[in-house]
Amino acid sequence: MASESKEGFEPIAAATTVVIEELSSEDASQLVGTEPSQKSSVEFDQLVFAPWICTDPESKEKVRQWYVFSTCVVSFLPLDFDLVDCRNLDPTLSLTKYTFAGAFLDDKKFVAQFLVDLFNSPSLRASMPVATKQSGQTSLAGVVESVQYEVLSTSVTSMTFFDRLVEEGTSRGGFQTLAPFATALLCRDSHRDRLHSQVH
Amino acid sequence: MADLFRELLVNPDSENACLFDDDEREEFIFQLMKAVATGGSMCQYEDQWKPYLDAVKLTYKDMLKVYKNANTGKIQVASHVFRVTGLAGAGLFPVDNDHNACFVAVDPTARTVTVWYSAFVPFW
Repeated sequence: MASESKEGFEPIAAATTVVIEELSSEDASQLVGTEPSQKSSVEFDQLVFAPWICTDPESKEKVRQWYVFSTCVVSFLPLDFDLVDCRNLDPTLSLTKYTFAGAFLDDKKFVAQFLVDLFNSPSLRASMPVATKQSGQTSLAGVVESVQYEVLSTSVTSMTFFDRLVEEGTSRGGFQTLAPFATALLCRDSHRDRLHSQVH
Repeated sequence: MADLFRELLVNPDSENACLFDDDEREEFIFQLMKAVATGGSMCQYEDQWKPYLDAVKLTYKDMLKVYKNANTGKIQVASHVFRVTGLAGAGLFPVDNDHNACFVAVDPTARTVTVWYSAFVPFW
């Protein structure tokens, strides 16, 4: 897991040592062997994901995706999801973590099927109750045929993303007594906000 | 909305909406802040800014895997995040509402999926 410094998030130290740059199919083929399609997924993982070969997560993922695509082991059979206990996951927030078997591909068709499998998995249905109109909870019922979803960007790696709220406050005289601006924004109602603007 | 901060999060016509452009509003961290700050029908606001930041930071770190790109030296997020808005064949949310939230974060390197589900249920 990541830790955080003043500047933001930092990765685990072990993930920064060795890099395979621009791994080509030929390179990966040499890593795997002459006939990668004959290797089982387990054998492949043991070979390519050994720490002495590659410790950079991005490179690992490139190798994994090349392997999956080149050997056509992608299948849309239901994936297995297992519930795992995870630190800091609050059950009151319905924040749950699962492990899954196989590779994950950043491919639209794969993602669609991946999410269908996820919401049809017994592990998720047993651990993630959904809300009812009567403010109760029930397990997810029915077979999920498709999932409507949107891809969210994750380019932000620091909480300084929200600093603009504070910075904005320094240029607003009316909010100076309630600086930072974020605090001023939390005025309970617009009347209180206007009152502060009139006073200053 | 009762305060300007939450109005900024949910109202695109807010006078402060320009602080975050459309792309930034599609950032997972922004959507997370929106879900935490606006929440469900029983969500109570905070008078202080720090509790919101702390809650979002912890949840963000719990759901995402980051790593240092050895080529650029920059911190990057390895996880893929999806906002699920509905399921065909099963009812995910009891009512259609902008405050419904279901985030799925996939860490392909560790082969884990973290799901956060929060449905808006009207109080009355």
